[in-house]
Amino acid sequence: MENYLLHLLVMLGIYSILAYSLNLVTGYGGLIAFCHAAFYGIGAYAFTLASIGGGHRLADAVLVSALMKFPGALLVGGMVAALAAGLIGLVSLRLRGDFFIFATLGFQMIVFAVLYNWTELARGAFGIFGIPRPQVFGWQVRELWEYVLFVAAVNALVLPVLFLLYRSPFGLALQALRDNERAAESLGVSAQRHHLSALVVAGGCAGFAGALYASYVTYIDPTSFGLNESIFLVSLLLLGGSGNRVGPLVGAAMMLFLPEVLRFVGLPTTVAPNLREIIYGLALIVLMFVRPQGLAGSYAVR
Amino acid sequence: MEPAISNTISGHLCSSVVESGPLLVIESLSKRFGEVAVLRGVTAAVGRREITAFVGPNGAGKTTLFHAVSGDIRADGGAVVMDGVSLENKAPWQVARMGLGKLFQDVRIFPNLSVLENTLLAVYPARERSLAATAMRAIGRAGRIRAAKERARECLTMAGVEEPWDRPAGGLSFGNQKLLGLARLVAGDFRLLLLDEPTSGVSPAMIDRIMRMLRSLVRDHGVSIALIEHNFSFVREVAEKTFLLRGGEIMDSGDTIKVMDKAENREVLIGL
Repeated sequence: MENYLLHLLVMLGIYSILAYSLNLVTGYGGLIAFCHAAFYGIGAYAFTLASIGGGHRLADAVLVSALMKFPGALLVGGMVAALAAGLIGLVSLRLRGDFFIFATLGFQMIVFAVLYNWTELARGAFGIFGIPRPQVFGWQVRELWEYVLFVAAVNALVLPVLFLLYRSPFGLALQALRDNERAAESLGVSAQRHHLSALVVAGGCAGFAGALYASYVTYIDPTSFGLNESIFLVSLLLLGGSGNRVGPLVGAAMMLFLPEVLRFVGLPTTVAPNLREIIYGLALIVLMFVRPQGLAGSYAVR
Repeated sequence: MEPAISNTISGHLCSSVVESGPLLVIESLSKRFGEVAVLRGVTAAVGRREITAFVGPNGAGKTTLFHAVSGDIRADGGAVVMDGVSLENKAPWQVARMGLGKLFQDVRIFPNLSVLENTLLAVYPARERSLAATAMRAIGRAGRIRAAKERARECLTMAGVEEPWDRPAGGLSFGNQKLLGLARLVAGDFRLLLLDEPTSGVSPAMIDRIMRMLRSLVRDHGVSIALIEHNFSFVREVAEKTFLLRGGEIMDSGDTIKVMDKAENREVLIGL
């Protein structure tokens, strides 16, 4: 039971980075992006390949710096994901509204298909085993409680940067674009540049989260980073709320802990998973009617 | 279709614009929406440190003209030059950074931001709003934000926006939203303001305040203003020059009182 709670805390730490980084794009920038799991996955794979190499000639050739130590590999995970976000942003940000959403969906599907089918690099559906646990400044993170501390430390580094951005003139410009893009541009704010910057930062943070996840579970395969995961992350923000510093954490906690609470209600194991999905769906529908800004949000995502 | 600016026109405009000449020159601007020609070769100018009005009946093309100048829509032909620099193919944010601020007809405040934040955004220079600036200038940030907030409060006071200013701007009355829109423009330190119906939907007391504010901007801050108005007494009070548009063309222009008093112009404007 104790280990189980610690595991949930680790996952909460990973998901809080994902939620707060998506919050920059969606809650502050007003862009609904269904490709955050793609950045998460790219970060996880880049970290993994940098840590242990691909085991294949192609992977070794691609990764000049294979077999890096944890901090270097973590940085590679973040940077490759940020680069991918930049490339995806350059193309998709030429579109607006629903078209932008569909473009991000498309990119999410492409990234999943590449990870699933490019066996030379990513070992496809087989996934990659044996990812090492972190070792930082001589501290080998092995035990679950140590991992809780480690994820908390990474959160303590990443989240203040995001909070600084939320409150900065850059964050204010993003919110103005979210509220009225033409009015913001009439004050000299470039929608393209600001949204692209937000996507790159969010992609980089999702990459860090992917690296943390890979080193925690020590095995990755593409199914952890598919469209369902992207929908899960957007739902998490819709449920908890966005556009402030509370909503994403509430959303992450709700989405991670609610299924576990329901697990202990004593439902038959055959119906419990389906019932959980139904409860999620219902909760989202009810919220959209009664509290469109989410449980603790300050902005209703449209 | 791309704006067709001939080298001759551009060259002529650029060379003719000197410090003493008009700040904004519009030359043969045309725009069609499908079969409808909304602007038919409009030529006009906005002088430095003065107020120029654009009047005309609904559908005359006044708002389209302003949109074409600010880059919100792309003209089919003609040229727009500000202070010797062509605005051709410039995005609205680029035009704004060149010193042209705009008040939209429907104001377009940021409803989820506070009144103060609406103004604060305009106070920050463009370079301070970038991600790179945020990353590099984290130290000493508190002092800069304090100074920017102080400036934003000054602008809100000047415009007379109702307090409290920490509430969401979406809760303001339409009249106060207009004043907030003007406060943002003051905060942005623009050289030229395009105001699309600044007095529509506001109370007489607010109109008086807006009048004083515009005069002060011109007299004390050297700002040039072009405005669209249906409030003709307001136009007579504040505008030195007036252009009368009808059917996408300039029908008359010149000294405001003379343009407004011509019998044929009065017939176009108010049906008398």
